[in-house]
Amino acid sequence: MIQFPGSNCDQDALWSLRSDLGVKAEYVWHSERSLDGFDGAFIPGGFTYGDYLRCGAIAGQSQVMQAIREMADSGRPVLGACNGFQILCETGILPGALVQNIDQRFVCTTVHLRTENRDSAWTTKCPDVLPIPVAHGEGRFVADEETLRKLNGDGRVAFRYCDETGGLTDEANFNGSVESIAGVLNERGNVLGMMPHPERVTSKKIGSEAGLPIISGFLSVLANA
Amino acid sequence: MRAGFGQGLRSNNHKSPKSGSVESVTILDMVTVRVNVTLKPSLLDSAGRTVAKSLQDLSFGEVEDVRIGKTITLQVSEFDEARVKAMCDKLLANPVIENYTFEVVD
Repeated sequence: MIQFPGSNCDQDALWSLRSDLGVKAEYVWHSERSLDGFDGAFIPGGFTYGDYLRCGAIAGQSQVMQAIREMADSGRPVLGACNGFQILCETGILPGALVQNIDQRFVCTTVHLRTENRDSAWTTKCPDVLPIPVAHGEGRFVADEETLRKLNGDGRVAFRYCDETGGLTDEANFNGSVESIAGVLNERGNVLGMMPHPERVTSKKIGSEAGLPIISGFLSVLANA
Repeated sequence: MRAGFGQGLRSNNHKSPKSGSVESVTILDMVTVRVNVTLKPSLLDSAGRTVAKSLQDLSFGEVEDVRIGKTITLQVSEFDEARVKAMCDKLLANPVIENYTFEVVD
């Protein structure tokens, strides 16, 4: 669990990994150079460095991100949710970028995601449609046409915003993301970035465990590695 | 604010006890570089669109479009174009979504 100044979903996410997924998880401060001994990394949400310059820009330059890049290259699982997704895009570990929501609003609600490709270890256990919370003001995914062609062609779009029946409508695409994209995978498929927060819904005790299939992707990626 | 404070400190450091304030200011050898970062034209600037709408509501009907960028002002001890370009590429701008220009200003 990588922590930066301004991370604020780290405690929920650590709880989710330990209590609901049942794995060992520890905090790692952003100044660490090494992730030796860790099988995977979760980059949590928040407002690292106050979102100065661009969301995730300063955190993307942290020392720990070089270790994250090595972890990604080695095929181990890396999940970035919300600000974690923004940081992964800023470093180029994932393609594209996240910009201001189309209507300028910070949106905090539960949305529906359509699972686009179940071949990925991150999505293999996901149902067709998942209700997952979002909380962001800058989550409009953008990418150039060539990148989009690759993402679509290689099955690297993990999730799209949809209505509760799985329909891709303008209304469901609340932040204006290109092609309603909510989450993407790296080329190897072991790194997932998404704006919604699966770690907030991993236990019925707090209302829903809809995010558990995504979080359990940590184990699926490792099993495939 | 911070740049002004830094300049003040530096000029004081360089000032000999009896020199006048004019001389202390001219000793400054910092170069000011102004970096201008804009969203790529292909991207919808949602903040700019809102500002355009507001200007139109204020009866500035001639406003067709607004794009909002940001200006980053650097104080550097020496100007090296390649190094400023590297700063822009590595951190100040995101090439996926932004364009940038920079210039040395007096």
